Amino acid sequence: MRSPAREADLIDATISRLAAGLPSGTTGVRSDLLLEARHGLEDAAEAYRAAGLSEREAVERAVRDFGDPEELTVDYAAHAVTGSVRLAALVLGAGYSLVLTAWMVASWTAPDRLPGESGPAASSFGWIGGVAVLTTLGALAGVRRQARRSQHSSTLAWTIGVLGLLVGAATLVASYLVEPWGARDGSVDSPASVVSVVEVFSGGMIFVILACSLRCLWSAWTTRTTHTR
Amino acid sequence: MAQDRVKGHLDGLLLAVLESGPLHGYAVIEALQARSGGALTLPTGTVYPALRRLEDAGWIAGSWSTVAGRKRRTYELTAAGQRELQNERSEWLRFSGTIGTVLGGAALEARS
Repeated sequence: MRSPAREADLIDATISRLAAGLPSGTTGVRSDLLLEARHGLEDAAEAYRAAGLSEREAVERAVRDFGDPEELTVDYAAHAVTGSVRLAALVLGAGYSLVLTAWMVASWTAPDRLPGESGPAASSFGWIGGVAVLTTLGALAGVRRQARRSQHSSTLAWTIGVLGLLVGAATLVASYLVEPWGARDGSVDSPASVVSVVEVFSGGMIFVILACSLRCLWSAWTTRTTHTR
Repeated sequence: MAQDRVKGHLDGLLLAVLESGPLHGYAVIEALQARSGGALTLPTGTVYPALRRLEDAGWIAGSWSTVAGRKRRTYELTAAGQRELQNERSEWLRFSGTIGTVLGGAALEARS
């Protein structure tokens, strides 16, 4: 007779097989989905036990009812990629809006300490921000549209990942053109001003945007769900 | 019942089950089986990603809660989901009526 630990191993094995087919770069959604599936299996086993089946039979029945993990992977992977698209899109739109807002506040509070001079490079941030927000809105609409049509495609993940990288790269280039990095005399900005705090915040946010975009591209690269159901 | 046929109507079935109130994933599966008298035999593993997709579609809303030490995601129908359910119902009635008319045509003619 098998021990309860062996029955739990059967559920573990099913979840592991499911996890093996999920794309990388989707950590949060991935663990969320697997947790729900695991607890669903445990609920099913419990229901069968309550109906009078032995521990072994209950778990085996629950695992059999669950279906073949390799076949189920397609739907789970599709949702995992959707999660990484949504995260990248939200970070892009909300993050860039925060950066622009922070610079607006800095320009009101310390107009004489803004880096560089106004010109095409400085005004390009508004345009880049517009692209970031439109990309976010488009991505969220795309996710909803795909879900309503029962479509799974990693095209959206590729698009958002590439646009996020372009927005991040364009911002870095524009900021360098406004004022080359390291060109400022450090003593001028001492003690730390609002502008230097905003600069650090902006740099950090652009790094997060680039990281989330890369993560989104990585999930698209590793996914197996490039088909339409 | 053939799984492929059920899968084609899974969205409507899940929305219909949630119409009576919020349920967590496994309770949705139990409700599906209870309502169909055990005739709907989908692999239970297909229901969880389908629920997530309906959530992405804005037709249901999900939230986590812990019950007896087990984390469960509970789903409930949104206003958009209610509208979609009505659409699914109307479409199904039209479709089944049409198919029923054609399939039952010869038998009905013979009777009359």
